[in-house]
Amino acid sequence: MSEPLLHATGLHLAFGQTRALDGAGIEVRAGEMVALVGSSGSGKSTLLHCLAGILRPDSGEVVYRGARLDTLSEEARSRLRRDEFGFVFQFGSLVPELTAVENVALPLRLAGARRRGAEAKAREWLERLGVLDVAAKRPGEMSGGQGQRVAVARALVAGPRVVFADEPTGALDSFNGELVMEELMGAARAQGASVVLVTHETRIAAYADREIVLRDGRVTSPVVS
Amino acid sequence: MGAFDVALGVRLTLSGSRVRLLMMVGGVAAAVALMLGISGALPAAAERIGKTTGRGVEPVAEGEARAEGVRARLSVGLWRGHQVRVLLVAKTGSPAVAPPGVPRTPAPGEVFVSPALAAALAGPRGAELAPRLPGKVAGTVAREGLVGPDELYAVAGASAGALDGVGGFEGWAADFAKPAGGLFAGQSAYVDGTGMRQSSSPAEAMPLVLGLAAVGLITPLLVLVGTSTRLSAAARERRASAMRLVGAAPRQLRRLGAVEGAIVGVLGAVAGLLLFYLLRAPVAAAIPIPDGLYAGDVAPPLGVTLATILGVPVLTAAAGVLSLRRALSTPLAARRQVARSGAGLLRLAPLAAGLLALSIVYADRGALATGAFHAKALLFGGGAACLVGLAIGAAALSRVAGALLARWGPGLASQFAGRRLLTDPAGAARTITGTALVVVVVGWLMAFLPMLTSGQHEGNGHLIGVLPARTVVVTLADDSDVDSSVAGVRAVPGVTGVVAFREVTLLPPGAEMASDTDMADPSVDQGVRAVVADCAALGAVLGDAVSGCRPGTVQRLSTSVFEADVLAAAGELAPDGSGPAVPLPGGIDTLTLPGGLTQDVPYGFAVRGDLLVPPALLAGWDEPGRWFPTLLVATDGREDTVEAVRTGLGATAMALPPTTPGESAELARSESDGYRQAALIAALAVVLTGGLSLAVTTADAVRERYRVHAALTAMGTPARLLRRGVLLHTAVPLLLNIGLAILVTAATSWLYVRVTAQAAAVVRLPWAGYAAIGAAAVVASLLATAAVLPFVRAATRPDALRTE
Repeated sequence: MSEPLLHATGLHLAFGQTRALDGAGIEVRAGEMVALVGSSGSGKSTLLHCLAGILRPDSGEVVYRGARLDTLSEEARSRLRRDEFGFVFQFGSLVPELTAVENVALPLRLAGARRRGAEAKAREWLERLGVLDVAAKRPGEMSGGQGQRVAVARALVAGPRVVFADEPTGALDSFNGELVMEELMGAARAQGASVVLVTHETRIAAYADREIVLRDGRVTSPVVS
Repeated sequence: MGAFDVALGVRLTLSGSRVRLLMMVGGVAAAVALMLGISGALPAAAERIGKTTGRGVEPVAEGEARAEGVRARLSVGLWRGHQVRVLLVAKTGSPAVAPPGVPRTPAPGEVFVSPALAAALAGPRGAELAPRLPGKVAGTVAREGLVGPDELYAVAGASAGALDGVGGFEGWAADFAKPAGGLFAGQSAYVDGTGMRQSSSPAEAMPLVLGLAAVGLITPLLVLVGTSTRLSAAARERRASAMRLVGAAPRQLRRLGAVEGAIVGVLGAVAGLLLFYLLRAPVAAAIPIPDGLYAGDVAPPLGVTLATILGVPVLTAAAGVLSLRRALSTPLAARRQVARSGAGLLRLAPLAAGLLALSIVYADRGALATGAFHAKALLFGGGAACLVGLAIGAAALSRVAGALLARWGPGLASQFAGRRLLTDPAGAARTITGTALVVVVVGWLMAFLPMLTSGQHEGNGHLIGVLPARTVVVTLADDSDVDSSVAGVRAVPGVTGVVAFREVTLLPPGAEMASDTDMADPSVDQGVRAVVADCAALGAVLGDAVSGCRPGTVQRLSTSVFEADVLAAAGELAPDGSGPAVPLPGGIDTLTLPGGLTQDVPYGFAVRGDLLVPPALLAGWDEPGRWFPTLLVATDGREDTVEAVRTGLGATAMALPPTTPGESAELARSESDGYRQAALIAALAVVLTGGLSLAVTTADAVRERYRVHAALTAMGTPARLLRRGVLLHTAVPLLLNIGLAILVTAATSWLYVRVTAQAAAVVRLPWAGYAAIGAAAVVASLLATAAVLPFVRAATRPDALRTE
């Protein structure tokens, strides 16, 4: 069995008096789709943020491609997130003043690509996800489903190794939610990217290869889909 | 239901973020305090002018006798850089009226002095001052008779005969003129405190200029009030939208918004009022205005105070309602982005119209000289349109800045900033507008104030030449004092020469003097102006640069610019047409004087002369001539010698303070400098307040967008890129607007001064001053924004994305 692409062991993290993670751990292999499931307040999002280098755990290890992630500086972690990871958030978190194509091109521009080339590639992704018609629109001018597909395009445009999706369908109806999940998973598989997905919906978790159940900040059971 | 809405509004306001409430109330309080201070400064200026007017008496026709009341003359001197004013008062009958500030009309030999003068008399140099007062100190002048706490002022009794003679400003009245109230302190308003200017002086415009300045400075404060009320507008709008979704009616939301705004306005207005009264005294003491400023004189009219205290809550309530306008139109407003802002270039139309109006006035400036209504309307309307145009056009400029940044700016920071400006240019412009208006108002003051009080323009007189710096110019009020004054100053150690001269107008014998109204008519024979003086004595005072002196003969002055035919022809002229004949030999030779026409002239010292006439030719002529007799006193230049000269003149009445050229230039500037510095202090306070407002709104905007910033940070966007975006979002429209404000200020100042100044006047715009105030505005705003940047990092922590 190959080395895991990303793994974490013994993660502890508290926010004041609240213990969000209490010894959680996880492994993600290259190309694998993993869903973190659990009730509200179980620590799913906190674990995802630790894996992505957004939060630094109080104790434990996060290792990415053989190197410790949790001990890197903020600047190094920021660089890693820019070059290796992609993100889809529950509310999209698109920049409201930028158009859809500018939002999708953002990760490429951050990596140093020139504007014309970045936006051309962004258009390809918008077309691939069936939202080219909103390329010139701003997030406030799109539907929720359109906005999330633009967010998915933004997450995948730079060819990340890992995509972190935190409740990507939480604000969508079931039809649009499934649409978004199919686009996300299909595109990720095509690129060979791993996906770490946080959701409280079992039908969304079913898109993943494996489910990991969290309760009270601990992993209680891995479930193979 | 109404009571519930009000109660809910109060609860939402007071239970929300205390920090935000404090910032909103603080912003309103600062604006209110400044507004009260600025509007209180106008009555203070009018009070100063009015008190000075009240010292004089209404001028009456010569020869008109009075059996009752008082006769008065104001005599002005200088002591160690301070004016010393002495009001000489003589009863002409009963009942006698007391001048303002003293309990009774002083008897001859009695003097009432101001507290500051009493302290100076008791000080180490008191011996220099005492001989200048015509009597013994009998009491104190109370505050109502004084311009300011530091004024050196005395009211002295004089016998009626002592005030006989010509010169000076004197008259008869049954009562002293009451200090005029309000902004327009009578037609006899004087700016410089000497009471010596004519009623047609352009200095009368000072209250109007200060009034316009106050309006200009108050406008950005109103913007600050509105901006403070709109803090966290997006969050409150989302809350309002949520309430609409559950069934709240638009009128209920309007009430809520109005209540929230009104609470901020009431608290801010009360706090501002307290702040004004707390700071009034220390600020009045700090303002560098001659003679000081009584804090109590800085009193906004009751109507203005009431309007501010009552009006500000109305304004903030309206701002509170306006900030919810999107939620009022649809419950989904907070979820959907509004359509792109329509801040088109058409917003610059009022500015263009204003500049066009002023250009028309300039092209047709002859109409303004005649007081044509359409010319005045275009002049003032054009200026107002420029101000309004700058305010309205700021959003259009911000949009242009956004388009340029988004399209051509290097890097992502430019794209972020540019897109934000394109989406909401009005929001960006709101706090910048106030700062740009302050630049315009202060720029106008810097251009106009010197013109109002300098009294001299290039080409406005035929000067006797450049005076050496060590020369004291003594302009007497009474011709009979010439000989005693000359003897008095000659005895002062350090005096190296004295020459007395006066000016007369020479006309053909039997001709009549032109009346005052005819003086501007070129078809009326104005005669030849002559200086009556001994050229050898003149040379002793002015030095080796005087050459060509032929004692006893009429000579042409080298500084004369008139090529009058009479100067070339032989003939006879007589002073005022009726004096002894002065023979003019053909081919009059020239007396050369140092220098030529110059703009650095002594205060009020504009001697007009084409010819020099030796006094001997007018021996036996008792008429004093049209103008005041003057002494030029050459000294060794030491300050003690100059003061000794002034002391040596004793209590001789002066038409103007005896000064050296440097002192007189300083006097000419001092009052206007005081007003200018007070205006600059107010402007700086407004600019700082505007900068703080900018900082607060920037910080608020960063907080409002925390989720977006957090997502960008999560994606790996460097914090410095986000900070650069915030700075560019402020800096680029700020620079564009300030730059345009400076150009508009320069253009309008040039046009205004050009059309209102004398035809030969040279218009010099204070470019350095414009650059300085513009730079100060930009630096203050950018520093304020930069102070907020550390919060960008704090507000963009990715853990803000936590949904749990």
